Amino acid sequence: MKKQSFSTAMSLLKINKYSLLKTAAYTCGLPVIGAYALAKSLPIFQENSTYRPYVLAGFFVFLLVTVLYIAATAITGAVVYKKKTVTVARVCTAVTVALSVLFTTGIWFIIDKALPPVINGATQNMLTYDDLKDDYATHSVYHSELLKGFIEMNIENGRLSPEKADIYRTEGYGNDEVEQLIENSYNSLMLDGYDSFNGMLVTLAGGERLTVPVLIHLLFDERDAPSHDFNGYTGEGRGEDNKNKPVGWSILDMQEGIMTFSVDLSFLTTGDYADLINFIIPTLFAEDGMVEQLIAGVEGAVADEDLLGSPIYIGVNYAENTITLSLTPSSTSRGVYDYKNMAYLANNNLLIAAISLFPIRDAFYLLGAFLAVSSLAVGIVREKQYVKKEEADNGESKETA
Amino acid sequence: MNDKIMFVKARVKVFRVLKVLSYLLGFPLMLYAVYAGARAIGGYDVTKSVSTAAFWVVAGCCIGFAALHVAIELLLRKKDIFLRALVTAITALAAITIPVLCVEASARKGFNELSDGYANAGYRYDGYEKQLSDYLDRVKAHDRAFGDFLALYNLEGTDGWLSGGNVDTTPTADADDEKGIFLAGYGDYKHYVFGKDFGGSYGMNGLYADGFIFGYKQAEYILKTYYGVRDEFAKEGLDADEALKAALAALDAEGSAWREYQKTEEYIRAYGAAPAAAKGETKIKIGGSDYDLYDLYAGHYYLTPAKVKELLNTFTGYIAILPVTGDLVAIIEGVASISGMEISEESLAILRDYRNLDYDGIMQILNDLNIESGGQVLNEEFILNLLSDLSFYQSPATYPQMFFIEDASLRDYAYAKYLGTKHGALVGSVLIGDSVGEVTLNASGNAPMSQSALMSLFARIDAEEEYMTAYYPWLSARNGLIRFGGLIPAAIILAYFFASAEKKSMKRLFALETGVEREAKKESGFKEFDAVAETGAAKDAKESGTDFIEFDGAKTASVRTDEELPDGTDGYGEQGGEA
Repeated sequence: MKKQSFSTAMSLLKINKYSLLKTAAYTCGLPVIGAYALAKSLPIFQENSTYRPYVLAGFFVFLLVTVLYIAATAITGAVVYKKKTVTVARVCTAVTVALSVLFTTGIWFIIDKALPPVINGATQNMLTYDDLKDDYATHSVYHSELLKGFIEMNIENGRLSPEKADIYRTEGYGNDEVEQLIENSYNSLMLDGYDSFNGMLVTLAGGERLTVPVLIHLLFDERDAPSHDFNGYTGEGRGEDNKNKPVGWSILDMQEGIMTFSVDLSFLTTGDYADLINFIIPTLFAEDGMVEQLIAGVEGAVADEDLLGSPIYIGVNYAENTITLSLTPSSTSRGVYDYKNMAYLANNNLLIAAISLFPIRDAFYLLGAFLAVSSLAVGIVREKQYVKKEEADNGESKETA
Repeated sequence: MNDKIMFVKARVKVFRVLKVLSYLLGFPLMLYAVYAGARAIGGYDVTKSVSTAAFWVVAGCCIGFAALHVAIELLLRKKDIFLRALVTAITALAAITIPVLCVEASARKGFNELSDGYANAGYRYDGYEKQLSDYLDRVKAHDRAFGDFLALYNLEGTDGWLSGGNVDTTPTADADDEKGIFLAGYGDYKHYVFGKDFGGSYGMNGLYADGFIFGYKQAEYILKTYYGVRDEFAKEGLDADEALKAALAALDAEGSAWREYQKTEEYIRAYGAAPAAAKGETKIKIGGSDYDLYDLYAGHYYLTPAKVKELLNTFTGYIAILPVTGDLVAIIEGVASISGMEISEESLAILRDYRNLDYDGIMQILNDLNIESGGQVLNEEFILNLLSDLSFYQSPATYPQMFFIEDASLRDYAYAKYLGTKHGALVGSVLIGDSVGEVTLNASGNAPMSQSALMSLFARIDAEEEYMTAYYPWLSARNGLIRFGGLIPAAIILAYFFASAEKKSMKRLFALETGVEREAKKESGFKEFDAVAETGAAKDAKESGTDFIEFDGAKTASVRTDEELPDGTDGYGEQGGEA
């Protein structure tokens, strides 16, 4: 009774049971993969929404696969509908299953071979395909924070107009001024910084081999004078005369973090003139004392082109017979990151495009089998739908003979 | 479809699966075990490159056996299947055992010879039998010891690594690839390349390229040379450092080869006056290649006295204008008078005129103060010497002073010491000193190993490297062979047995199928099939009175299954596929 009323309902609604089955099968294929990919991609879209269209690279790849797959199923469907033989139906099913494997696992197998040199090249091996492959979510956050931090840094130092702060924050990379500023800052840091050093020494410094001799080389060896405009930076260490001169960078600007040195003065404070020295040193190092005032002069000298040509903020602290010297590069106050992060930021659009591919890659690798199974199911339904019963039997006996 | 046919089809399938499984139990399983062994030792640097050597030999034996198998099948094709199985199994046993015995004998002999050699040199290692069982632990231990040494001295693997080239961009060459870039030598001095047999990348003067980071090989050579020469001198009651000092002092004397060399164009180009030409302006030819005159001037890469003067003058220019400087000068005057230092009126005048203070003024005051500490006078010379220790540059396009030391072992010592300290300090791999390895702005280095600890470590690592690369691939393969090789004859016999059972069932199936068609025409009765009758299914069918043949209305006849078929085939082969 129930079955009958169901069929009646179906016929009243003009729903063919084969169409229903096929729809169900199709739904288990690309839509499942798409839903997984979307869930994984959504945070990346949200975090890097201003990097349109780059952040949509993964989506476009998915779209392309969808179009190709739909085309393949439409063509094979039409062929089965026309020929109505078991052999054709089965060949078509085999073709769609094979294509579904090719479009999922196959394409990514190829991309896995082709993309690493592209990404590694774009980031000068600072960020490799293997780094991104399994950890793309972390990198998505990291690279989106790079942009946010850069905008804040430059609103603070006035290179981006504080009045338009909200516009910069909302538009992000989509804002022409921001995009221009990133490009300009990176060019200055690269051409008047990284590239102006002798290649091998800066490689040693970058490879965790920044030794004292390397540092001295990098600080005092001959370098080309800076020649690139740095967006009218007028901050510290630049008098009126230097306002429009290109900005130089020291090796400290290339490095991340603050450098600290300690000097133990016990040999002085316990020596012959201990009393005198124990009186003088604390006085010198007192707040607003002579050393602090002197440092202001030193900072000015350091920024001079004949010395380092780039300001360094020097902090000095004296406690328990030890002088601690901290050197903070001027990069942050001048609105740039260290070289590595600046290189990331300058290539962020491409990196984010690459990052956006990985959720799709994951989805296709993990759920590619769904598409193959769904293609197989569709093929079976088609055979039942279009190939006549006798035809099917003939076909079978023909095959077995 | 006939029920009986389906039943026989199922039997064919079962036997086929069993046959394949039996085959897999033999050579493939053993090959896999050997391969797994090779992979296990392939995970360690020392045996990585040779790990699969023995696997390929074993694979070769397997291929050899496969060829023999085909030959046996062809030669004995008329014979009984069990005879064939027996011959094949014996051949397989021989194919495995004979090579195993041969390699075993030669490996044991070679291993023991090597062991004796090392024992004569004072280094002992356990015998072949002991290493058979724990070789994997030994590779692990070796890997750990080697890795610890690399970490302690901050080295780059076995062969070192060239990070960029030279600071002055002059070319570099690998030790085995001279490319004619080396300087020609000077006077009677033969060109000298330190440690050429131990790899590395070199500049034109035969020293390691500026950016070359030592690997194990170079570190071993440098340290062995350093300690070796020290011991040589000590045996004669001499101190190598003192001898070196004396040799360098002799070279500083007028008329020495070093002083003559300093007069050459080559040397003056690097250490003379700064070239007037800007970068890229003037090229010169050395040994057929073009070089930029600007690059060849070493003064571009260290703090020359002229540069120090210039820097200090810029610096004092900023300091002199500070309000606080006046107070500082007053303090210095005060300290000087309290401590009883004698300051001349001239110096006081320079100090008081601090707004015009410059390099010359500071040096005059220093000379005047004549401060002494530990036998050293704190004057201009002292400060410049101190700076030259911190900032120097050995041009790769000129010979260093030590090149001219005539005593060959002392020269080796000078090179080893220079590389272990100065070159090591540049690249962050200090080899000699109180603090070794990674001495950088972020790390203060490690305590060095003692000479005796170093030498025994080198002996161990070198010996292990030699015997592990030579014999461990074999030890790992041997394990797989011994564990699974014995299974092979049994597996082959089993496979033959199942192949025979499968063939029988195939014949029956073929007969059954052709019989159906023939008898359908004849419409005659049937004879029971002997083998099928043996099975429970057939018995059940008989007992329950079910007519086997008439189940789905078709009729069939009996055919004697062990007869030749009418078409002369035995039904095997053509019908091998699934129906």
